[in-house]
Amino acid sequence: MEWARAVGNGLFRGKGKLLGALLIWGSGFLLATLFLNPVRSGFHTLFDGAPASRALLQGSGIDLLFETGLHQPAFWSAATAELPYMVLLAVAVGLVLMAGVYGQAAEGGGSWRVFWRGSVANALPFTALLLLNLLLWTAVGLGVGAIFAAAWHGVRDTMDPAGPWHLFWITLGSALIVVNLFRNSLGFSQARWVLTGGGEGVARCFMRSVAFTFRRFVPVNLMTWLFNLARAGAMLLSVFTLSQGYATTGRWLATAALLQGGFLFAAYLRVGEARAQVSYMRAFLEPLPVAAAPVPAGKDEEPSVAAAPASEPRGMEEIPDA
Amino acid sequence: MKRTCLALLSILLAAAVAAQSPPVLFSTPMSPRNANYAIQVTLDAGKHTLRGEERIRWRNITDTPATDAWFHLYLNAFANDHTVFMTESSGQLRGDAFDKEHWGYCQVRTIALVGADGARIPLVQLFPREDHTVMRVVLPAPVPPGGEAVFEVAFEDQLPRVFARAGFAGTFNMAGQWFPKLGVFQGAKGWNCHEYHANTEFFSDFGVYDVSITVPADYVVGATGVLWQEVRHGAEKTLSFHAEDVHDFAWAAQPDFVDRTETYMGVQIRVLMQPGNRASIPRYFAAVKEDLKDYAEWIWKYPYPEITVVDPPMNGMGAGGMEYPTFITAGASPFLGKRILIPEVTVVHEFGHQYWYGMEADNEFERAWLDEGINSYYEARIMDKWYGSEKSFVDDLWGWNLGEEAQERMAYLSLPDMDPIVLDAWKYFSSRSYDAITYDKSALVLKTLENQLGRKKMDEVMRAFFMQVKFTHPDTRDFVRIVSQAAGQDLAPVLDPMLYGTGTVDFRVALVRNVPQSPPEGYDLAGSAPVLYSKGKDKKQERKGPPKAPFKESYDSTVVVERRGSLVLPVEVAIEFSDGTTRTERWNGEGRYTTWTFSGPKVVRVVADPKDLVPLDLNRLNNGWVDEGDGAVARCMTTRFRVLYQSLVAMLFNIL
Repeated sequence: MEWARAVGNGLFRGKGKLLGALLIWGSGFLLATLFLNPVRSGFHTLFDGAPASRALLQGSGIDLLFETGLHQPAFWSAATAELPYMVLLAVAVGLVLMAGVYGQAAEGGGSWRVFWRGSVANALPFTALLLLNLLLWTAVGLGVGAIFAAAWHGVRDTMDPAGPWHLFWITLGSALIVVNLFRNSLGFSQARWVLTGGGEGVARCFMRSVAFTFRRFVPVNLMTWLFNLARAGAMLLSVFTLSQGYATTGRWLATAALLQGGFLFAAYLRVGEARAQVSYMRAFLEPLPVAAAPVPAGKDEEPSVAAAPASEPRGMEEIPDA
Repeated sequence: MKRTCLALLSILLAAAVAAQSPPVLFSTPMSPRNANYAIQVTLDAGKHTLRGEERIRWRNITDTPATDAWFHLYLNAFANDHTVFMTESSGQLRGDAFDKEHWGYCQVRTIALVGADGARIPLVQLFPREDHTVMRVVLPAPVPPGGEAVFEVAFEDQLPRVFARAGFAGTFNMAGQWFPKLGVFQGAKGWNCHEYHANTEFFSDFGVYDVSITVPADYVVGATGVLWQEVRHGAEKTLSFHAEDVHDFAWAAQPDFVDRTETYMGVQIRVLMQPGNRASIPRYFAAVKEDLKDYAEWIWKYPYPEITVVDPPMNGMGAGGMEYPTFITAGASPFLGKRILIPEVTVVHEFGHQYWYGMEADNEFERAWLDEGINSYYEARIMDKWYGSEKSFVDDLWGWNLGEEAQERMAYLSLPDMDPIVLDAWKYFSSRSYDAITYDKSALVLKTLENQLGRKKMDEVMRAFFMQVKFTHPDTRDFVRIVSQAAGQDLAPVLDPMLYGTGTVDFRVALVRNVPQSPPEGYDLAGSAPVLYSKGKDKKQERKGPPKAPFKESYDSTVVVERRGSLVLPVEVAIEFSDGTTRTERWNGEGRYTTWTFSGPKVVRVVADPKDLVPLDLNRLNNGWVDEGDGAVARCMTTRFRVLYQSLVAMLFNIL
């Protein structure tokens, strides 16, 4: 049960997990705060002088929100106009953060210096890996979508009334599987990259990682779904189940604190997932054999072997299946 | 012996005949029963066609002779893209798109007038307009007032793929507006028989329906009326339904309906559910029972012995949310969960139509609000009573609630002033305007009326209206007249602007000004003895002079509430002062604004319409003013939005 051991390693062993989690949580908090600021000011303008809006504290009064859309359309336009920039910034920050998280996982150190070294070294390759994975899995997703659309068109006139439901569930399940395959592929590409030190190049690293995730389809997906569900559960708990509402200032503070607690825990799980992927992949990689030092050639002879590189490569090669 | 045998034989014969006759549901007719239909129809499940023959017995209940007869052939609306319906709707209705690979039609193969001697006189079909949804025949002799005409019609339908209420979807077949149906003869005004428009529904006369439906033997059929006979013959079966005092007949057939029946308050409730939606069966039953109970208490006990609820399939939802006499279609989905009350709302609404569409039976082409608006008002009342006014549409979904009235307000606010409530349905600016005004604004107008009259008086006036107009096809004038009589006051000045106009109303707190008025520091000589006022303590002064009185701050305050829009409605205004006291002022809405002045404690809070008695108010956010807001709502909304923003970022970090 190598995958279970890897999950345990990821969650409970090694140093620096809290640093990574705090950086992820903190970056998310700051980014959201930055882009929420104009929205926050707008809410004060809209609602501070409107006693009718108190209904919103109880979760009612959705019609009042609708009114703001009619009477203050510029507010909502302004509130959402910045979202694409937030997404872009989040992607950039996220790549840097993940580069550091995976780098820490590979090196085993827990310090800020190790994290930063990983970020600097791996951010650009991670970007390339992201693009490659997006290309592949978007194509797969479109292909699967086209198949389902054709199937729907072909059977909708003849299928029994329960049929569309079955097709819907199959489609939804397939979409989730494709998204998860993308996550697996990207995550293990990143793990492989930091473990091999980039010695094999981005493209080869990507292709071998994809192959790896299919060869070990079940454990890889078990790992990823475990972390997906744990994160989803943490967020559902903190956002809904444990939420204290907003009826009083005390309840609002408790709700806000629980919310951030949920995000921090989800960040910790993300770090744990990265470390689990590195741990799992490490178990199936072995160091490449070191090349023999060449015999010095005579004056009149061509060297028979290329000179050995000055230092051993950190490359690792996957252990084939028995 | 011979006599005994004869008697026995008579009894047996009578029993045999009785066994073949439909039951009598009402010993005394509730309606004029001037349009009676006997129909035999066969469904070809493979081709989705209906082949039928009908015998219509029509009586002229006006004082004008009828020289012709007009029929609705509603399914011809789906014959091609030049029909009025398809042109007006552009092939889209309620989010459904028409499937151009499956057109539909209703073709009359033959139509004849049956004379008193039984002779059949063939009639020529005339189509007054290009659109074949209306057919006219000229009668060989006028039908005098009180006279009868009997028509025999052979017809064939091609059901379209489910769109706009009727059609097939896989093995599901919904037969709505499927047979040639007479319009309404209005005497000197002639026949009221409009083409089928995108926004219109239906209008016809009351009668007795006897319908025999032949389907494949494994099909389950639900229909208007009571099933009184089922005969199996080979691979098919024929079911006979009987309904009295109704003005339409619809049915649905599918092989694998889940068929459940319960009885409540003497009414048989039959639910035909899609196999995938079994979990929603209790929701449908509960909604019908709530309707039966509340309508019996507020309006009239449901008079028919049965009601059938059909759940259409996911790929046939265009047939959902529709009403026919004693037969309704709803719509459920496993995704809706118990917190989104759409199944309950739909069933409550469609059942409510049994009263307004079914028994009051206004002309839905011309005065749709008398059905849809009144029904929407009662839908909200029933759901509010059942779930509470804050949660009667969405009940605590992710921390949010939505009440029926709030949902109606949102729909109304989306297009509040393009069209009046009283308007021919096909003349509305758009389908969205039709929905917003006919359903939602009408319901809010009635809610406004209730807020003015009080719930008890409102129940009296609405009951009086229903009991006086049931089975008579009333008009808006009837409504205003009867409710005024029942209320004991002329409600036309209140109702007419809301019903016939496009005016809106928006109360706004325009100005609040507090001007401090304090006694001067030093001696105030106004009273019988000098009173020394000082803001601070002066121990030296205390030893020397008369005792100081503390400053009692006082203000001259002005409050101005403005009424925007042309609709004049009364409003309450709650004014709160710094000493904790409140006053409620009333303004009749006349004039552009009204002003109140006060002397004394500072005004710290003003709310126009604090109890939300004017649901037509376009903007409630400007209804109030506070001296110092605490920012609680802004904090709450910011945190809710933070969940979205930060979740989006976290999701991206998780993917990367």
